[in-house]
Amino acid sequence: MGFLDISQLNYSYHTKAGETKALSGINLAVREGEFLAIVGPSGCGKSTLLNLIAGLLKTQEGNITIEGAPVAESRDKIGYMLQKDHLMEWRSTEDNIRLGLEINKMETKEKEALMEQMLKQYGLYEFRKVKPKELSGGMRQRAALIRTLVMEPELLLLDEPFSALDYQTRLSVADDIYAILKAEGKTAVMITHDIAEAISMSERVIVLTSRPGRIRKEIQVHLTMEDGKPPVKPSQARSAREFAVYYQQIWKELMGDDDER
Amino acid sequence: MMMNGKRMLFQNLDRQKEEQGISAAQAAYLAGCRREKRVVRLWQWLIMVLFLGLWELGARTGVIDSFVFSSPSGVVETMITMSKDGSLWYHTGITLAETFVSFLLILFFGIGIAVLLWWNTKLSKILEPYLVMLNSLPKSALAPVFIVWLGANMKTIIVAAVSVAVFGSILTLYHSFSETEEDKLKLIYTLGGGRKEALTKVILPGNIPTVVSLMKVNLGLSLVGVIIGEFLAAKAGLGYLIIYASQVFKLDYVITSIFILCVISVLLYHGIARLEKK
Repeated sequence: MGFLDISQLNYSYHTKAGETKALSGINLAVREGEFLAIVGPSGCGKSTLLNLIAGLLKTQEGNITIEGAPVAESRDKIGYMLQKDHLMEWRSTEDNIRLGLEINKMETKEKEALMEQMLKQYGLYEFRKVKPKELSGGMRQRAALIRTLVMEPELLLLDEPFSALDYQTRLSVADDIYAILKAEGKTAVMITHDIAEAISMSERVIVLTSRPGRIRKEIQVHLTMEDGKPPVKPSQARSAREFAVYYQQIWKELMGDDDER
Repeated sequence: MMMNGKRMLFQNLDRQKEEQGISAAQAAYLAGCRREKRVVRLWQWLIMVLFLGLWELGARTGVIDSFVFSSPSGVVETMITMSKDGSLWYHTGITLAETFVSFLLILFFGIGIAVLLWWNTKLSKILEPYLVMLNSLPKSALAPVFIVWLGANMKTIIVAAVSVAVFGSILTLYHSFSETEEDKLKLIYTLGGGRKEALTKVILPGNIPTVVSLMKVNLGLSLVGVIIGEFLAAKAGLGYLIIYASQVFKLDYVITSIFILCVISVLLYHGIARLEKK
């Protein structure tokens, strides 16, 4: 039993054109504090899997539990990061961060204090009163992360959280978010199509097959730097000795999928 | 509004000039801008003076029949008489009041029904063809029906005015609501919110610009609707005055009423434009 358990999960979409099997026979356990990455070709059901874990879609067959309880009862334990920051242009940075608190009627003194501390810690305190259009791409993504974290979720779901950013920003935001998640000791599941991002941030990479999504391969990631220690930041991970090997391995698994079709 | 923008631009430039001191070429450019603005203003005034002057001259010399075409001096006289006996304020007030009430009702029903349709997708699917039909129907065709149903009174006028603009408002707002980015709504759901939170935190605040631009259109449309209504079913108001005076060939009164309507529409337009800037 892990922190997050998925067993025998199947999922199909129904349209007028017919039924599409999106996920088939997914079994997965995620430890507390683990960073798991899921990669797969586009249309492999990655997003469906994440939406099911988040409780945004109802499960059809199979079970998803968090600490033994079904997801429907654990929605407040889950934080979700979307591809774009989706900050509301008419709200200031801090009002954007308060969004989740307002919705859940949790605007307590403790939460305000937590928010202030996070704003300071992640370099947004001076920008708390400004509108999002005055923030840089990296700052916006950090604000979006604080909006999620201030709810104090135990499990974080990341839906290609960097794909809307340019390459430079992407690396630095990945470093920031990784550091924040590790500091807060959160469990995280990230879906991405970027192999390098998956290897550099996660402890385990799951490769899905294309439709219907099945688990094709599980790869444990152990990176060591020149000094024999694991990398501190994801951006350093790219120069770790084993990086290229993992990259090749995952690449082959993804390509192999094409050969079979 | 454009004139206002320009005026502000010039004020800013003047301030900059004082602050930093500017090159001769820049000063020449600014002088050119100011000259152009003066020329534009001059022509605007000239057209008006020429139009009124020729009209008055024509009426005095008998080139045009002032009994049919009235004359600027006749309009001024009429305005003075009417403001003395209070009928000017009475009729203008009635028309303005009807316009505002209709406008507020359009806004209320427009937003309310659009929200309802957004909330209940099935309802919107069911009602869409009816709304499209009602929107393209010439509403003036309904006015006589309203008179029969509601009587020749203010109720009819307001219902007529509301009917002119409300269906278009509902459709515009509903489509604008539906075009809200799906992921913005997903964000609300991931934060534990439901459809109510999606409405109050995303849909409504995100559509304020649409509502304001709709208000601009609707204020004009309510005035149109009110005048149509007053033509048919009123005992007071500028529309009534136009119809009544034209029937008894008091053209001075007709033209005066039209002139007041011109002033009202300009003032209303600027009022909303000011609101938009905020």
